[in-house]
Amino acid sequence: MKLLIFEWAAGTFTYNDITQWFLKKGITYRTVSYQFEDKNEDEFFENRFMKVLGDDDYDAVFSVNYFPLVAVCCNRCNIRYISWSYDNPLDVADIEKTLGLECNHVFLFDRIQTEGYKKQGFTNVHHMPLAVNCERLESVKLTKQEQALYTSDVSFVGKMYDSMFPQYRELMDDHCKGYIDALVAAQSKVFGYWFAEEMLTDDLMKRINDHFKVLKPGTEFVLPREALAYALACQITKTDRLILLNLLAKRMKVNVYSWEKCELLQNVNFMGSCDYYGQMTKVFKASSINLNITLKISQSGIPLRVMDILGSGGFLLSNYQPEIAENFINGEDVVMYESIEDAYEKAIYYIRHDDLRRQIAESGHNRTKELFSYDGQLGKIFEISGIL
Amino acid sequence: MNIIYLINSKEYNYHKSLATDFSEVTGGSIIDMGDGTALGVRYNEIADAAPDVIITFDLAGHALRTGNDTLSLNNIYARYAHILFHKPDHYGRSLEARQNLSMFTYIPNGNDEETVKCRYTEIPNIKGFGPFSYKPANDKERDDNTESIRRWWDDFRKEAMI
Repeated sequence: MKLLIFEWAAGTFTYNDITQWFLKKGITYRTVSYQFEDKNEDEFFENRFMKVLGDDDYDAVFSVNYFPLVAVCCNRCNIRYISWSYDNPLDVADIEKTLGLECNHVFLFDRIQTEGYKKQGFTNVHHMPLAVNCERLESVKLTKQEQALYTSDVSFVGKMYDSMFPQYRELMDDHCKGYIDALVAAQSKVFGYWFAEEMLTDDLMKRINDHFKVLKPGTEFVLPREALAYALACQITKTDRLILLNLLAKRMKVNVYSWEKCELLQNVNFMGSCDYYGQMTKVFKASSINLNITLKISQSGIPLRVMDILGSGGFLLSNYQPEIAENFINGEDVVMYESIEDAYEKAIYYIRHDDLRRQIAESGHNRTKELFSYDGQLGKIFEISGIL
Repeated sequence: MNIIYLINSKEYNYHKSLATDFSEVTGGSIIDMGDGTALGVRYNEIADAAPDVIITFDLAGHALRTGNDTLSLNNIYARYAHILFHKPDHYGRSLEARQNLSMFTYIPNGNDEETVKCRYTEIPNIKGFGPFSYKPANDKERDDNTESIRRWWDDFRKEAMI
């Protein structure tokens, strides 16, 4: 079998583990990459990519995350296009315009997101949880210096999210501001069910957009529901992360790994960024508690960060996510919290119980190895796509 | 059209004069990667300029790398021409780095393009360039160079759809 892999120019976290599986299976591949300015319209890209497709007899095109113009080219050449996403939302405007193309076999890690597309009639969208290369992560060892550098009570790897919410809110009338504030307050208290988007009704969106026009006559800007929902999710997630990390930092050593320093974080050790294939595993191995605080808009799926922590053998303290609950036993394989207060109390409890924490981490690691290997997940993907 | 030349005059003493010759045909400004400026600062300067076209000599921009050792230039949306004045072997492993589809690598005429394509599989577009004398000895060679630059520029604009 011969594959053409399309990769986002900035690179993708799971590329090396996926291509390692291809090599193991004797699947040959060529990789091409590109940096899009507009994922939906790029004549130059179409031209070049069509040439690449014509260079060889490929059985399929594969990509991590979904790219509409790759789908358009594949459809034109009658070549299967398989994509497996670790992003949620997919960050593709007007995705409905290409998702239904016959060439597409789209795999998403979030079941609720998948069901949403299926309800819209996209039967070629499938649910596929992410995977982790446990063997690779098991082989990562820490030197004494690294152990000293990365050891902490709590570690968090991730960003604080810059949300457009304050800017959008500023442009709303008082009624909409009140409604949105109440919505944010309510959604902040609920873990495991994202209802905010449903509450952004057509009437509300019309009122918000009408008010924009009053403030800026002649504006062509229209705020889409999805953009406001994403901004709300970022805002709530950012607040959750800030509150929890600041609370924990008052009681224990908290290391935060992120590209950008957030001035609102107090008493935490800002460690800068950590690279995916090198340092991140070491961070998870050396930390007593690894925090996962999922972006609110991701409704049910198990994020890649959770896979990375469990695959590394780290102890996971995560917000409640339905698919984590379905696949792991809370308190035995992982620990989930249902509010910020709950997260705080559980962190205090587990930091005092070393043996229990190690036992849970080991059990979670074994379960992850059993359920979420690349061999298993990619095997299913290729079988569903009809090429294995 | 916003065109940037990336050269390294510290490593290749002929880059400055060649960049002047090229830019007389194409227009554009010149950034010298060999002037001691920190690479991170350089990258931001290039990205902030939002160029339409980036032309590099002897892989002068390949020194800019991400944390995962991929080419940082891959992340800047532009069309690229990497012009090599030496045989591919001269560049060691630099030519093994993955280039994105918007990059066109020009190797000196006389090299077998197909062999180079097979050897460097991460380069999506390889084309011949020349005849060209990177150290022109007289006016005749200089005139010939100008003609080659004109032909190359026409070809590149066509391929890059600009």
